[in-house]
Amino acid sequence: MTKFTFLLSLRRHFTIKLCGAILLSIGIIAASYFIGNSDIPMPDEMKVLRTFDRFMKFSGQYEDNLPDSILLVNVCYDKQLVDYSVHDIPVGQFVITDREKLLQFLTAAYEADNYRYIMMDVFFEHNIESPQDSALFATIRKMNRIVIANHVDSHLSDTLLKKKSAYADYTVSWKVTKFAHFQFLREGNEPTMPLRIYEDLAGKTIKKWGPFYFSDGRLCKNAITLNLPIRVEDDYSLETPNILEKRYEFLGADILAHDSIYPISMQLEDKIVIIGDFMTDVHDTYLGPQPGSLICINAYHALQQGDHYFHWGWAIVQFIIYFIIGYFLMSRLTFARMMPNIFLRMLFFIFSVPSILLVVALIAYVTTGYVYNMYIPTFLYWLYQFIYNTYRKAKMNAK
Amino acid sequence: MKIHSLILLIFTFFNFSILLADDYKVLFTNSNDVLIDGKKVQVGATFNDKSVITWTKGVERQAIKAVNTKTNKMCLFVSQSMEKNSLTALEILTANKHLSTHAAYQEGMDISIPIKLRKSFEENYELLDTLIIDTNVKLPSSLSLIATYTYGDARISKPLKTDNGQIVIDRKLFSIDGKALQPRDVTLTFDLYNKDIDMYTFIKGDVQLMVIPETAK
Repeated sequence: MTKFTFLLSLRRHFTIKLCGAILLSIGIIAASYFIGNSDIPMPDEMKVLRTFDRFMKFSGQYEDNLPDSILLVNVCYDKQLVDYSVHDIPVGQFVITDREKLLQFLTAAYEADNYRYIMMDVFFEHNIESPQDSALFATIRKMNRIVIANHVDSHLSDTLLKKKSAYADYTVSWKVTKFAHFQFLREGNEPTMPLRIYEDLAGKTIKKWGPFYFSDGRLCKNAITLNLPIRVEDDYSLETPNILEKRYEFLGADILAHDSIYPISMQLEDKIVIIGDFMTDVHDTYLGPQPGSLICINAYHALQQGDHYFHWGWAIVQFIIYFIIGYFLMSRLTFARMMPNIFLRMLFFIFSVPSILLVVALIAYVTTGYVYNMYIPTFLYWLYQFIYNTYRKAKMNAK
Repeated sequence: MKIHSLILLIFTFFNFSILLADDYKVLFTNSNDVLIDGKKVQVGATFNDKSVITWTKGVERQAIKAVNTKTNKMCLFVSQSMEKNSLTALEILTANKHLSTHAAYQEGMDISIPIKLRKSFEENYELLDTLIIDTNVKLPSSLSLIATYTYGDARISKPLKTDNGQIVIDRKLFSIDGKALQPRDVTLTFDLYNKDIDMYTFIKGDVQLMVIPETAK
């Protein structure tokens, strides 16, 4: 009878632990999805990316990478001075991107109409005007396959440009002040520049349905930890000791100046043209300072690669790992305790929950480039343990 | 028949190698004295990767901007040979950050120069007559090494003689308008000066130099 009661209790305990581990694993996957879709970056995203990048560099696998389909146009040396006022009182002059040169370039592009897409990471801010504005804005409005930058907390100089604009913003927090996390649909479900390019070129978009996001009929994420495989470390890449290949071209000095010998139409043919300031518009990323325009094109690249889709395969792998960890945690077991050999026990002693998750994340990153969130599972395991320990203490005190 | 096949094979191979060759169109040059295949370079002219570029002797910083007509990518052909700057394992894992305004990035400067120079200096030196520090870093003519020290209330900066990877520190460093100063323990700061863009790069500070008085020889 005693034996039967013991077996029954063992079975009951096993069922509770099994159900608990299953619920905890599903909870972690769901929490990672919902929290990950917000614009707020998690504290581990930047660190994970940086660790993995060092690992890849150390193994000699990462280099400067710019696909041939992309033409980077640097406007850092194409500036003009315009009058500037604060509260309608003139205060002096302000430096902006040379709108005359932009007009010249876009007019040629419009006439050629052979580019794949133009992403102009230049903001035409309200209250900053130049004599070329009306012609420039009219050209932008009549162009196909073009997107210009807009910001959540600012206004465009011409409201008619709104149709051609999309957001070029990301969020940082008090804890994470550097870029690591990109959200595709922002404020009021408005698209960002990468999503707009994806919509126009791939004919697909991201749509919200309750707390879920879908793309092309598949469950997807609205925000991802953004890997930056498209990167430009230097102005030039050294092909041979005497030949340097330009990584980006200057709008005035390279593209417009040589139009008569090397026509703009030839330079643009079938290219995704990225216009931005690659010198001063830089943001802190896991690679160090990177131009904002390159962050946007990497986000588009992620969409193109399908990185935003919810990977069911990885979700199953994650579920199994979370389940094992959860079951061990609920049984108050450790990997070390299960090892018969002392050396194996010592080895497994270092296998804490975050270190197991780090190894899994590293495998995921190296094999598929998928960046997987470790902060949420680690936090939830810690929360479970905290609640459980508090409950046990309270129970013991009551006794 | 066999000869015909051989000729056809050679002809095909020749055509194939022509197809593989990169062709360039000159967009800009900063020197019209440069020769490509024996002819003076001209904007709009074309050449291929088999062409011989002859740079004018004694003239530094000659460059040709051209476009590769196959890849549609612009490139620069430069007279000075450059080295690929590959990072060591230690440089991947660690990085040196500068907090001073000297640390401004200088476009076009080989970034390995300040790194290598920085490693060359020790903390302490003694100057009896002439001190030669081997750095193995050959400085281009646009760069010079400046030593700065404080003497009384004055802060004195002087360029150092560099020759074939060696830096020479002698008593001329402590001579102002022909008048010799008599410092004893000097703390030196080294900066790299780029005269082309008028910019300084901090190399190393707090280098102790004990100047042994001449009477003690």
